[in-house]
Amino acid sequence: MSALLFEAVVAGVLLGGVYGLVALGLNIIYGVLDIINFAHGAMMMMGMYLTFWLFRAWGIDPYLSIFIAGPVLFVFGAVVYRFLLDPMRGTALQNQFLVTLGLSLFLTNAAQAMFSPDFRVLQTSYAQEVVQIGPAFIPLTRIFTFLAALAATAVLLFIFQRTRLGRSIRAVAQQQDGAALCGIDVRHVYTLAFAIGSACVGVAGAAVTPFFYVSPTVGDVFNIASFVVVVLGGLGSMSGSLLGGLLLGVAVAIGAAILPGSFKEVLMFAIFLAVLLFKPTGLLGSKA
Amino acid sequence: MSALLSGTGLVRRFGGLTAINDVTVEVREGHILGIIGPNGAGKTTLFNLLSGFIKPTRGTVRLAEHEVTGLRPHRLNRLGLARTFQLVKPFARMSVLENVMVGSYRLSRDSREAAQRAREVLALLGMEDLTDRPARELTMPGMKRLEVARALATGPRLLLLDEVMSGLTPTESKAMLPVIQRIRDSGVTILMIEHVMHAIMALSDRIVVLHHGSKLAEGSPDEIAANPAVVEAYLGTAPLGR
Amino acid sequence: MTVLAEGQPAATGRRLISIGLPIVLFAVAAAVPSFVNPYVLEIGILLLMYAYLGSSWDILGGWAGQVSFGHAAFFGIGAYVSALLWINMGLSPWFGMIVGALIASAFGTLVAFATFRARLRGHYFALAMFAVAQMLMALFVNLKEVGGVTIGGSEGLQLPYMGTDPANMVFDGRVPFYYILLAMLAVVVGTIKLISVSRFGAYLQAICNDEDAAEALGVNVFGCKVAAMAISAFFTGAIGAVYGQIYLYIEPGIVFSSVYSIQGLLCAVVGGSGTVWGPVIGALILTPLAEISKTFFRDLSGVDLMIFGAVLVIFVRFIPQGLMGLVLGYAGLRRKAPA
Ligand SMILES: Nc1ncnc2c1ncn2[C@@H]1O[C@H](COP(=O)(O)OP(=O)(O)OP(=O)(O)O)[C@@H](O)[C@H]1O
Ligand SMILES: [Mg+2]
Repeated sequence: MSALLFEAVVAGVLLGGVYGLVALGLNIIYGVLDIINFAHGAMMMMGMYLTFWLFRAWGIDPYLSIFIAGPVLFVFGAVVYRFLLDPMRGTALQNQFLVTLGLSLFLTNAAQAMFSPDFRVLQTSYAQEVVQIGPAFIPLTRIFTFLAALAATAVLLFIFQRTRLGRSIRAVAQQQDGAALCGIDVRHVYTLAFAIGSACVGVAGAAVTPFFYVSPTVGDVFNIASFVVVVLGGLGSMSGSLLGGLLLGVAVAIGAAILPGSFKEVLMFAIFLAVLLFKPTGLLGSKA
Repeated sequence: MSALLSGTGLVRRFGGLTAINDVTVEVREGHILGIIGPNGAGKTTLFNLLSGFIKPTRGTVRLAEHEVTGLRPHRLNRLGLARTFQLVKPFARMSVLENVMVGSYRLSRDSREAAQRAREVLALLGMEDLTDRPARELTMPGMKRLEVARALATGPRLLLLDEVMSGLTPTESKAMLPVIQRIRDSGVTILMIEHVMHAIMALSDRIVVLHHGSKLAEGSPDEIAANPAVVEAYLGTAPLGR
Repeated sequence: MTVLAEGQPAATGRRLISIGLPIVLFAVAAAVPSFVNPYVLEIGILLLMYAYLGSSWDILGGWAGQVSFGHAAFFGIGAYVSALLWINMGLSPWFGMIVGALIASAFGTLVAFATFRARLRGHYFALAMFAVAQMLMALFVNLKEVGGVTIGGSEGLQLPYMGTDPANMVFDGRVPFYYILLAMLAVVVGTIKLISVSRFGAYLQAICNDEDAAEALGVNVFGCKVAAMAISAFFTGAIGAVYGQIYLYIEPGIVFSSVYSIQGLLCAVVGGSGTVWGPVIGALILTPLAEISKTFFRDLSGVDLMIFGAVLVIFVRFIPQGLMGLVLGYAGLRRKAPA
């Protein structure tokens, strides 16, 4: 393997950790609520702008902003769920999906109106530091971000496997009526699930800003990536999200290294369609 | 007379669960065949196999002279088989007439003729008053009748009725009896699942009893009522004639 | 379906309205260019385009109930096919439009085969369509040329202009395009009207309500969905070609952009999907709204789409049946039995 390709693979794995976290958020929402949140990427964009402006205004380090963007998006998600999505529970599922489409349109273009379509880059003092891994030179920020994403994923897995809250969320995901009978407040759990899923993109958004440009449409990239990861890794499977994220990160990185131009995007969509079309049962069918 | 519909050696597994285990049924032309069995016995699954909604793990289905195993439901409908759903599936945002027309379009592409036929079917089921109601506003008995009306409107030779009387009051289910008889008298063969015992005993020419996915007994209503194994299967769960 | 009305005495008046009103409407629309300034005419063109996109989208999204997030795929294909045929082979866009529409339709059929065979429904289908459009965009961005034919990559294609040339659908003013779009809209709405009273329309509605029940009644669900996609894609492709002629310039970032997917969806949802006039009414409301917001917030890009997003959320949340649905719903309400 050439050094270039190796570097691409390492970079892919590192970004894949972020994809994994974003997809995990999407997966939690889907697994519990049966909603595919089309505004997932747009909400990540919110986290990125928040991080960007916190840095600009007060010099708050983006990695510190994780602890701001996460909670902010958590609250935002809770509000969105409570006021927009929950009232439509029980109507056609497509309606909730359309609402998230509208929300994504709204957020993206609100950002464009407020911040202009320009691409912005956040320059930390350590942005240029690199670490040598084998023959490859990897920016330090990428490694930090990867670790942050891993840590967030670990925290989430812990919450879901070990805590009362996690257990009741999983109970609702499996058996809404049964859970309600056991005295679990279903609406409360739904709100929490959506909020936690949203917090994931808040964390991910803050964590990528040290090396990823910020723009109103930046969410699109992560949006589609997280859809791909979720179908790749399996809907409802939390560890599958992480694995799927790493897989996609590598696939896209290798694609970018060997394909000309921006064909890697074509590749991403092709993977997505291929998974949807050829592996629907098990991944999708189980939920249908 | 020969069998209009037959399922031979049908097996259907869902993962580890064998919902239908080596069941053979035959429905003779012009007959009413009743299917009974405790909850979860596999009755609906058998219907799904016969009407093409799920494919058998093993076994074959024949409709008149055709081998139809694995054919899609709409193809089977074109060969003369219509069914209702135990969990009703009305076209909620369409009117009752429009619901039935989706069925009667099977016989005529022309909207006027289809509407005409749909009205006739609605009249047969005593639903004239509901013609222009949105289907979602019907009561449960209304939706059950709508299921029958739609299926009947396709002009079937064979009608599969899945618990069209359960959930009806005794008066309502009594009113259903002559309707089903009339349908049979018009030349339609009927295969019906029913928990309402007096109805199935009164209507059926023959009865098949399913239990845990297997055929427990088959015979005339009198034979079935007198069969100790059947009585036991039922007493183990719910009393006869509920 | 309006079949209900037939054979009832009260139907005569309603039929008069259902035939007369559209004629009046189109007559008024036809008179518009003689009274308005170029700016308003431009809005009129946009309005017709959105009404048309909404109507085309709704054949699949509203009637058959298969919500698509990727109709820009067909729009872009129509635009590129017509433009490439004209530039490279001198084929008049009048024919190029038809060829473009046919190819868009063929592509749609292919996509329909793949997605509906895989049993993609609901949000999976919507997302698959989204991915298809985005993939085509990414593909065309990367295609500079193929076999000596310039595709233009991300810069797109400049269409030749040598003065007014009606035979090649090139006009100096915008008025002719206004009439072209108006005629095309009449064709689409007419087609939907025909569908609405036909067996096919009833089948599509049935599928939209419950696929299993439709299948049990002998409806070839798969076939109907594919047909709805083919028709919907055909119309969407045709207007893509006209778009190219209006602006004489196409680029992948525009013709494949989700804007053209969402615009149609929006008009249909707001106006009332699965109704004959819903998408037109949606366009009548949304286009002025966009223009007003653009003039109001002159220097802010994206405000119109931001408002569209809010409108979509509000409608789906509070009036999911759309305005037409609301009107038709009230008619139904009068018949409602006391609960
Ligand atoms: N699609 C499916 N996947 C998995 N298991 C299924 C499926 N359909 C049915 N079963 C199982 O097969 C068994 C038989 O179910 P079925 O619905 O045929 O019973 P039934 O005799 O119609 O009962 P009831 O009188 O309650 O309607 C049940 O245990 C059910 O849970
Ligand atoms: Mg059953």
